[in-house]
Amino acid sequence: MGLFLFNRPKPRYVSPYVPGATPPSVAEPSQQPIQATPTPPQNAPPAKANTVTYYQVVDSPDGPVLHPATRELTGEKPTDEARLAAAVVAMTEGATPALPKGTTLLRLKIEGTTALLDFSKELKENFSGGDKAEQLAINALTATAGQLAHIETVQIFIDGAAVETLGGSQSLLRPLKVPQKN
Amino acid sequence: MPQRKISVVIVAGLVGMSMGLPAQAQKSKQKPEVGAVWASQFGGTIRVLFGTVPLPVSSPNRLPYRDARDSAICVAPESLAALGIVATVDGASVKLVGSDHNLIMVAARQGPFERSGGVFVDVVEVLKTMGVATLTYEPSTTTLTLRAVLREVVLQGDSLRVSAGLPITPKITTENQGARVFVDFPGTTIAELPPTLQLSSAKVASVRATQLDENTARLTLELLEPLALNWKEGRAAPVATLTLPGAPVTIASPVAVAPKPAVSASKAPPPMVFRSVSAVPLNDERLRFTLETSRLAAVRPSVQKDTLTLDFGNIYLAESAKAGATTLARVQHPLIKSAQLVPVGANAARLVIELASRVGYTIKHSKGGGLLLELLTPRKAEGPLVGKTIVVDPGHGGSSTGNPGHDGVLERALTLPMALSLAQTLEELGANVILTRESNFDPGLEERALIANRAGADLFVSVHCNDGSSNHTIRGAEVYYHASEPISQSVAKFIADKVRQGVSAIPVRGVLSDYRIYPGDGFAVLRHSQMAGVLVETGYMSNSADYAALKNKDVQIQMGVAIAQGIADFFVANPDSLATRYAKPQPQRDYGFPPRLTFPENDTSDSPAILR
Repeated sequence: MGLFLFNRPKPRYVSPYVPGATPPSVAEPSQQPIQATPTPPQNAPPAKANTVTYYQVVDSPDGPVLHPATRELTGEKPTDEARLAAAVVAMTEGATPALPKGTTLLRLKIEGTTALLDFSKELKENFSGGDKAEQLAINALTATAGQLAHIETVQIFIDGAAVETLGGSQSLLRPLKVPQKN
Repeated sequence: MPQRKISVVIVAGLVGMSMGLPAQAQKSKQKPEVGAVWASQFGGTIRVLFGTVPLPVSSPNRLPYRDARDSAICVAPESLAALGIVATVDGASVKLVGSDHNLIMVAARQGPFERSGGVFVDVVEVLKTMGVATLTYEPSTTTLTLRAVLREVVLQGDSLRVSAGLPITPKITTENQGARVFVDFPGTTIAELPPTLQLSSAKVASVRATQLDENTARLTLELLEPLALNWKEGRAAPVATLTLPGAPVTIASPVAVAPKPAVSASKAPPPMVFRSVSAVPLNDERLRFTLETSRLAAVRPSVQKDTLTLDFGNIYLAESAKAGATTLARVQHPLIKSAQLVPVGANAARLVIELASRVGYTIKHSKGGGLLLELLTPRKAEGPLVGKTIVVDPGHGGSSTGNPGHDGVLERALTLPMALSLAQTLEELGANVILTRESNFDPGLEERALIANRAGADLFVSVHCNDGSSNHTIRGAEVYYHASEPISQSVAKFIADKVRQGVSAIPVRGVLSDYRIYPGDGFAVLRHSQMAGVLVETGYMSNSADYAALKNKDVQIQMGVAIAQGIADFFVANPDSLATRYAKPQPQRDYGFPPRLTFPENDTSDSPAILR
């Protein structure tokens, strides 16, 4: 330490504070910069058995946010796996998809209140973007899986393996909580 | 006196064993044998043997595997109990205590899909750091073989005491009517023991150590008269005491058979091996000593007048270290007058450095056992942050590129200069600073927090750039704290205020909880760091004005200075809040080891759906 890049005069520092001073007032942004879209309200009538909620990225004054949408599946009673797989496909479509192109769900396993989701390698290989894109993708996945009954956490695997991170700000090495249900 | 705070950092990361990637595995439906991983489409077949015996595994999903990310060989922590190593999962880390009470911490690894439900550890990292075993990897059979290192053989009265890095089980045979005794130790190597041990007593003429075969160490005792060597079979332990009852010995009670000195000796940690010492001048202001020992050494540095001394207890010098000591004595550098490594008695050593002037120094543990001692010209430490250790984390790096700007500039290239400016300013304000990276590499997401945890830092600060995707109007810096953690929130407010005053090119959007980004989880680095911490999103790369500012060298410096001064403001206003080490509230985590799980490869009765 000590050999940094900057050859500049030492900045003068005089603290305006005294011991016991309260923190300066810094307002929070009026709106959430990213809205983590919750799963459907618990008190709402159950969705049709052959529908699934997925999430689209839409623009807002505070940047891109997730917006819920519904897709209908063929067949009267598709399995949870089929519903999630359809949601994943839906989230890879469109001009600004929440998930990288080509991502598919390979496997689903329910372990207590945790949903283990195994995705194709495209989730990692086709991911581009920064922290925000990562946040949108992960929140879209956790919120989508959260619509399954009794699921509280989600763990994401890629091609069978645990990966440390998608974009560098969130760890995928352990289960993530699904957004709180209304 | 040194001006710098000593920071002892166990450098984690991955052990650099050159193992190569496993061959393309083939899917198989066969039930696995204990100790082996069945072939699957997601991983290679790995066997981990202690000598010739596979490590015990409680269920198929706790079998060892090869981590596809870095080829590390990972085992379930509870499997290490067979090696006398007790594991405790502690959040993102695993604490491991060896039978010699040596404690290390390594990163907890989440297994692949087939291994979900419990954490794993890199067995090579564990054993190399503990220095208790030799490791041999055979690529053709994808087998990792562990062998205990025979560390010490001593004669104590009528007892032959043998200590090793891992539990040992002696097998005794005799020849020549009992005058020659062979003591074989399966799964053990003699390592650096000399072939002929300088041991003799009234009953023992000589003791020789040989490697009978690759998995068996042998001691050959030439007795002066035939004696029955007693060894009470029992639970394997790292120390075996064999009694040599002669005719005069009367076994009156168990106490008489096991005299107290031998018992107390067996509780002492076995001695370490001092393997090598060297000194490399980095420049005229820095001199680095590399001290390799068989396991992590607890050293006691002291500076008296112009002499820096490092004492190593319970250690003996290997021949290679003695040779290194000779070379060391010839090293010349402006910071020192002389440097010597000298043995102190039979089981201690001392590094004595005569200093040419006042110096600062740092000591770091290196992986695999060893120390890096670095001497450097002292830094003037004064200011509001004296005594504080602050970890600065430049976001992303290496393969973790972060957000790409429209002209190809990557987030990782912007966070580093801002973080370096921050680190430099913090040092100027008196802080002891640890950077998670100083160049373009990725130390690992969870490792960033673990670096701070191991250092016992007072504060963790991560520097990032934001991204509004297709929204090009949103702009400004945001300072995040974890959950609703109050100390971190206060730090964030001081920082945001200073950034607003000091960085005119970028507005401040505000202070936010990271739960607004990841509900219930927050950012990984803030979640896993155990001290107060903030993550500063310094501006939006998707906004042209912010982006131009973030690329501007002057603004980068301003940002670092402003964040540092905000931190200083916090400590000025809260001189007592972190007077004792503050640990932010940790969530309850359950990383216990669940009962058996079933997966499609090995149990078709409970196959999860395959959607493809």
